Amino acid sequence: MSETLAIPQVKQVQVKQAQPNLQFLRVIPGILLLAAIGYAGKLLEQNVGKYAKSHHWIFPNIEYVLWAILLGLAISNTVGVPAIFRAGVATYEFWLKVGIVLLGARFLLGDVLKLGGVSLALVAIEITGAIAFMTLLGRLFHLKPKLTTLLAVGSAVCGVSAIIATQGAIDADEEDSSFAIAAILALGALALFTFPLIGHALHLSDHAYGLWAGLAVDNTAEASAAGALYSDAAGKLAVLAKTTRNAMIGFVVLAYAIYWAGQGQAKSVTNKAAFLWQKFPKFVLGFLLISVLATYHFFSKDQVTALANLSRWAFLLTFAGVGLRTNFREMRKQGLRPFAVGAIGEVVIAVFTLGLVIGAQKIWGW
Amino acid sequence: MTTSEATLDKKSDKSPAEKISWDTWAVLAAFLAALLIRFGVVKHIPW
Repeated sequence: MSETLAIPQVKQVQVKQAQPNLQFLRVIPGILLLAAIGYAGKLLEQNVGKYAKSHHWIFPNIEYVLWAILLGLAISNTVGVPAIFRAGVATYEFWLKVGIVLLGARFLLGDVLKLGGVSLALVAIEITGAIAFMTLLGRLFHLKPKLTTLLAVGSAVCGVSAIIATQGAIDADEEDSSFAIAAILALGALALFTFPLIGHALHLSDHAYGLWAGLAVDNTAEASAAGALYSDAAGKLAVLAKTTRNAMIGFVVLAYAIYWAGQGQAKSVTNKAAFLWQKFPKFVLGFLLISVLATYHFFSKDQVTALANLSRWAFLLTFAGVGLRTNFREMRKQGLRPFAVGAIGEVVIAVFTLGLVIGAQKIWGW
Repeated sequence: MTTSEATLDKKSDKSPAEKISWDTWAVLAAFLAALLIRFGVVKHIPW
C-alpha cells in the first residue's frame, strides 16, 4: 500500500517504532495542516458567497465541508502530502471519533433509542443483503475468497476499520486488504459528490437522506461528510445511522472468523465475549454516555451548544483529512477487478438502501 | 519461540498508554473536553 493510502493505524505503529518518545511531537505538523485546511474551508464558505453576491455572480453556496475536502484533494493529488505531515494527517480518524462522541450531546436518549431502533432494523437488513450480494459478486468475478470477504465486510459494515479488523481475524493477505481498502476509499470519495446530488434530485428530507448516507456510505468519515454536505440535520442522522452500523462490526467479524477457522484457514476464536469487546468500537459507548448525560441535564443549554461547536471543529479536521488521504493515482494502481466488484456492489447497495429508507419514510412519515 | 509467544512478548513490551487504543483515547479526550465545559473551565466555544 502506498504512503498516501496507508492505513492510519499502520502509520501510527511505524511512527512509534521510529521514535516512541517523540510520537506526540511528530503528529503536530499534520494536525496543524488539518486545522489550516479546515479553517480555510470555513473562511471560503463565508467569503466566496459574499464576494460572488457583491459582484452579482451566480455561484452555488458551497459548505465548509466540501471546501475542506476539495482543498485536501487538491493538495494530495497535485503536490502530495509531504512526509513531515503524514503522521498528523493520519490522526483524522481520532478527530472523527472525538467529534462523534461530542455529537452525542445533541441527541436526547429518547431520540437515540427511537432513531437508533429504526436504524438498527434497517442496518440488519442492509448488512445481510450487502454481505450476500458482495459474496455472490466476488464469486462471479473470480476474486480470491478472502478478498471477497474483506470487500463484503467493508461494504456491509464500516469500511476501513472493518477491513482491518477482519484481516487480522481471518489471516487475510496484506495485499487483499490493500485492494479492499483502496476500493472502499475510492467509492467513498465518489459518494461524497454523488449522494448529495441524488438526494436533492429526489427531494429527500434531511431525515431520509441522513439515514441513507449512514446506511450506504461505507467509511465513517465519508458517511459523516456526505451527510453534512446535505445539511446539518442530515449530518447528525448520518452519524447516528453509521454509528449503529459500526456497533455491528464485532458480530460480523466474529461470524467470519468462525467461518474461516472452520475452513482451517484462520485461528479459532476461544473467548467470543473477549473477541466481541476487543472489536467493539468504544466511541459508540462514549456517544451513548454523552447522550444520557445530556438527557438528564448534566449540561446546560449553553454547554450543549459549546459541545456541539467543539464537535464541529473535530469534524472540520476530519473532513480536511478525508481530502488529504485520497489520492486517485494511487487508487488506480490497485487494479480494476476489486474496484469493479466494489463499484457494482456499492451501486446496488445504494439503490437497495435508498428503497429501504423511502419505504421507512412512508411508514413513519418523516 | 513460537509465533504466539513472540506476540505475547511484543504485547508485554508496550507501555500502559500504548495498550489503550486510539478509539479509547478519542473517548477519553472527548470526555475530558466535556468535563472542562461542564465545570466552567472552558465557557464558550465559538463556531
